[in-house]
Amino acid sequence: MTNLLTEKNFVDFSNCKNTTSVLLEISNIAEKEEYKGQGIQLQLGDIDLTESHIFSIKSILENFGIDLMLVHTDSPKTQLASLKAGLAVASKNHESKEKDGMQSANSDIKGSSVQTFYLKQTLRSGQTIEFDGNIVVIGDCNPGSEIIASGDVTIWGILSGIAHAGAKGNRSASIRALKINAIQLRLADLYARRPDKVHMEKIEKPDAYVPEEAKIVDGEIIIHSLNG
Amino acid sequence: MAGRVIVVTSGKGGVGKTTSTANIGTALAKNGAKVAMIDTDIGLRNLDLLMGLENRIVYTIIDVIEERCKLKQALVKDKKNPNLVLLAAAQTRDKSALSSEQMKDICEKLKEEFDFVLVDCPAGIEQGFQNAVAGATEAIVITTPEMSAVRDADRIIGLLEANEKIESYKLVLNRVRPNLIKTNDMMSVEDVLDILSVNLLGVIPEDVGIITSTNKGEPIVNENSSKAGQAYLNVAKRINGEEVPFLDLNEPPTWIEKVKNFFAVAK
Repeated sequence: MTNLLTEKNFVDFSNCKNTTSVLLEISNIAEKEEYKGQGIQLQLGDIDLTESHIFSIKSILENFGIDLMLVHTDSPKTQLASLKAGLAVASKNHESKEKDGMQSANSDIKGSSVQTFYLKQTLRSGQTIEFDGNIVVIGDCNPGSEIIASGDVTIWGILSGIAHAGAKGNRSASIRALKINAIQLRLADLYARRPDKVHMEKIEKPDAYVPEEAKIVDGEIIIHSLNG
Repeated sequence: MAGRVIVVTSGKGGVGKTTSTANIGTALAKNGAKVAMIDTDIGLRNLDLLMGLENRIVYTIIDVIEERCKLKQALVKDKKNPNLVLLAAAQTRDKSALSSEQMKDICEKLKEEFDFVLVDCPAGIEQGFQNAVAGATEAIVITTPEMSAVRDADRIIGLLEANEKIESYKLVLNRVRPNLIKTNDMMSVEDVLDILSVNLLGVIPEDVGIITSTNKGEPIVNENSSKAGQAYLNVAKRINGEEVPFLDLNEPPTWIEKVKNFFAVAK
């Protein structure tokens, strides 16, 4: 389980304005002894990077024995590129932090400043999204993928991986999907696991899905269907 | 008394390292030993699936080394046998997230409490292999009776011999099909031993039951009727130092063969 937005070995690159300066800074970091054999987190700010940039950053760091654990970015391009490179992605919601410190993750409330990370692709095994806000995925979340949000998680597809909503302790957060077949569901500080007898490989594929929602009722995680 | 740390390795992928780890681990625990299994295939973990423990994993080996949890918290107990635990690999990272030193450290800690620590090694001879071997003093080399698998096993044995900490290594020959050996279409157990010249720990017959057991998340040693399961139970006994004769893998003759044999004798 990854902790949402921990500050360990955090390297801030948000001042870099172009890709060349990012790569330059990366080689500076790589040569420093202090990160050797450790994992680091990169804050890339709002700079746009392509997949090949991300791959070169990753391999430079790897050559120096540094493991790139998490990429913080505010650019959707960089988010997607990092995800494709198999990295965990996190995005800080600066705005809401300043205002009310993420008190409500309920996106229904008007004027709520909680941001939403929107992703249109299938999330595959090993791919992780972390976001300080809500996450919406248009596509399936396959077994082995992880979605961690401080707000709600909504999946327009089949959820078969691990989902964690309200990761910062918000017990009113919920997880919605067209079909919840998750290995584990985590809501705030609670956790529920799939019964042993259910087999992932045999997902029923009905003609029409009845959307499902998982939320906390009386201190327990329950899943109910959203029809009618 | 400190436990034994045994790495299960093969070089080539797909020959049954993980299946063997799951079954040998379960078999050892059935015999009453305390067993810990470590999946070191970070990024491509499977051992939890075979054990049917996927839904119970909260912390992984990476969480342990990055100090997000204690080692004990990350050990997932088996559904049936409380003597058996699994330390899962992380799925969202890769091999570079773990170093040999850290692996050694974890093995040292685990062997104080467990009689056996089984390390499931990833395919290949790179960092992942180096990590898996780092804490071990014994090795089980898995191979199948195919040229490519035997060649890779030979390479792995060379690497194990060069490793001073590995005191002994033994071979498990997996997916053996006696019918093919009979018709000279498959290398025999003797052929493989001639090439590799190692001690044999077990011969596992090809068994379709492995497929269903994998899908069910239930090691085949838990099924009494399976020959492969029986063979794994014998492997576990041999690890414990018992002398167990090798199974007779030959299938009982079909009725056509019986008739043929009858006429052969009649002539």
